[in-house]
Amino acid sequence: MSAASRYDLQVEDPAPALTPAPPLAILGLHVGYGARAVLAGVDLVVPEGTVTALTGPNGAGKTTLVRAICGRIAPRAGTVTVCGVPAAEGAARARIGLAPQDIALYRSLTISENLEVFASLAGVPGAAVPSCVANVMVRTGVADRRNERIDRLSGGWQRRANVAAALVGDPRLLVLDEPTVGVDAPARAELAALVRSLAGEGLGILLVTHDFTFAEDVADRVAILKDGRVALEGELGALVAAHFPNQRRVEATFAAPPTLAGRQVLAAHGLHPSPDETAFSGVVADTPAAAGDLIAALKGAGLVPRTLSLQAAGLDALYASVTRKPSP
Amino acid sequence: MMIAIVRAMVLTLMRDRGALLMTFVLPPVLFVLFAAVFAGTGGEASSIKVAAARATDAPAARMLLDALARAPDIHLTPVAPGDVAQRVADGRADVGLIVRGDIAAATDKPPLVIITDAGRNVAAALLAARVQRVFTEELPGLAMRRVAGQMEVLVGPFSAEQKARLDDSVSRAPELVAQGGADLMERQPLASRRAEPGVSYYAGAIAMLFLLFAAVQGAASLVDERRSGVFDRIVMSRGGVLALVGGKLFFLILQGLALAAVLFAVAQIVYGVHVIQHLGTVALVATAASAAAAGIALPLSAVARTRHQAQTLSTFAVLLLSAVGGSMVPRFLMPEWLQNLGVLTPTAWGIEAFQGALWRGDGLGDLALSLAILLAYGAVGAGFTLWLIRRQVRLA
Repeated sequence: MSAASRYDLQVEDPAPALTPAPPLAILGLHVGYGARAVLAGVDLVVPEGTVTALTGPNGAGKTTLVRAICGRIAPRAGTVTVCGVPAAEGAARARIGLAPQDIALYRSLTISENLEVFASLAGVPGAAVPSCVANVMVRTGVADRRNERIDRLSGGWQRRANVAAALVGDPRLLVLDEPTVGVDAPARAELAALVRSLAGEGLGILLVTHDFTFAEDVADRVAILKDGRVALEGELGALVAAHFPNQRRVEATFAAPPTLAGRQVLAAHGLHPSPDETAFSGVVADTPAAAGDLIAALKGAGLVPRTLSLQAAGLDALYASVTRKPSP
Repeated sequence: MMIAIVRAMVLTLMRDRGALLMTFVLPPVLFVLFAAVFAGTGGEASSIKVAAARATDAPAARMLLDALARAPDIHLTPVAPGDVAQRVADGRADVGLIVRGDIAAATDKPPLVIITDAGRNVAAALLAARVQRVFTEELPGLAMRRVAGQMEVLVGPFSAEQKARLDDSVSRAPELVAQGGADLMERQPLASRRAEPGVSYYAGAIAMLFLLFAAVQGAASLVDERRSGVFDRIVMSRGGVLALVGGKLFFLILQGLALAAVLFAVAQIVYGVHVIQHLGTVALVATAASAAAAGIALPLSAVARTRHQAQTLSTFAVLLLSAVGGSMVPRFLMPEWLQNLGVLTPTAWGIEAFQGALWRGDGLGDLALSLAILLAYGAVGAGFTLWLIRRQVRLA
């Protein structure tokens, strides 16, 4: 549905009607602060109707990338376009719906009051604001809570309202920054359904997150940012199949960090420790013999795991594999 | 162990520039200002502006005015008798003095007339005290001649018969003093002035003080919005930074008008200050003063990183502007250098404009300069905030 047909929104310099440009296209993006290069040649595309999960270690440049997408940082080189419009232009910002990590709403206002404020700021004409707000509330499922103040809502409802506020300008690109922080499991599942539903409407969604499970639930594609570059990008299943053919992810947890000898045995089987050294994860060949060898090695070293899981490799395995590799 | 806490607190204080400012800079600055006002430590004494005129050629009258002109706390401007009231009315003089009779002789009316503006009664009191001092310390001969003359009027030559009259006079002293010897001075409030005391001044002064406080409190929402992400959402919107700053400016003006409405309603109901009678000009001044307050508050909030920092900066600025601008002590009581400094503050212009509208009944023409300066404060402050935020968000 176009902006004009939905809210009679007047776009000052609309993109050409036949532009096949994706909601987000980043090409060779370099951004830095002073002498420090934060992004060093990022390439990323978010196609229409898809969810792309962007993850990466702290300091990898995720926040800077979001700022560049929002036109708030001038690149040193490369381009960022939103629906074909350079991100620095106001018309590009009008096509972006941003749901920041914090609940970016007036806390003493109700959901509908907040949506009215942000609809007006988005340029929705006064007469169209009520219908715009009603539409967004239905799409995001917050209509029943419309008259409740934000500071009296649970974390899950606040997150929904935060997403709703990002939609009032009828964006083509939705940027969700850590949308599952402070959200319990049931609300998380509802949020996942909402994100899928919005992608189903044709929005391109960039999901910036450290929540691998949520990303696996909703993302069509994943991108892992490391040292200012996209180290890995593509469809999750294909990436896993390519990186871990006939392999399964294994994780062993312990009540206390194993001894040095125990850690050496785990390392010999490709299992890497968590920061507190009570969990070790890695991949093993997807064969009964490989699993049997691992169990026998643990027994031989006197290691008794609290849990030992063997499952299909996923985003966490990809992430671990990419982030543990030394940078070129 | 307590030393560890002390160390932590010292380090915290040393790294909090706002707290350092409030603890070590504001107190001495305010001390210097108040000492200059109340103790004359500002390098020159406070002086009151007196418009003086002589309606008699008596030598004693000239001697008195010459002596007053030499007084360190009086800034005497000789004018024609007919101009004295106007000068006091329009604020060019704090008080007026007309010598209408020979102060060395007995007169049926007080020879000195002090033209007072009820908004500056303290200036009249200071002048009266100075005249008494000059009269008794610098011109004692005049005082004696005046008393003798008055005695002659009262009792005549000291003969036996008049001795009896003296006894009679003494028994009827009040009545006879009224007939034959008047007081030295008479106070005449300006004819167009109302009876209420200088409440109008403080209505304006307090209005300016709290317009500033309310504005900085309201503008501090910018800091909250930045922390919550609302700021990001707004600058990303079609409205952008212009809507953000313009909206806040407009809100702060409306808030200031509401504050002024409540304050001046109390001033009118309780003290009889003429607000309704000058509603149009008072509303205009309140609008311009609110804009000026917003012009101060918005940049402070734009540069602050936390609400704590914003509050500290704002308290510092508001107290300083209020002290120098006359919200705490009338500016005419300050040394001249401090009065000149006060001209740089919106507080001084706001108080002057409120005083003009409420007390003198000034029209738009008289208020134009004050209104223009107050509005300029608002426009420049909002423009600077716009520039600051655009620079912060680096919008292309």
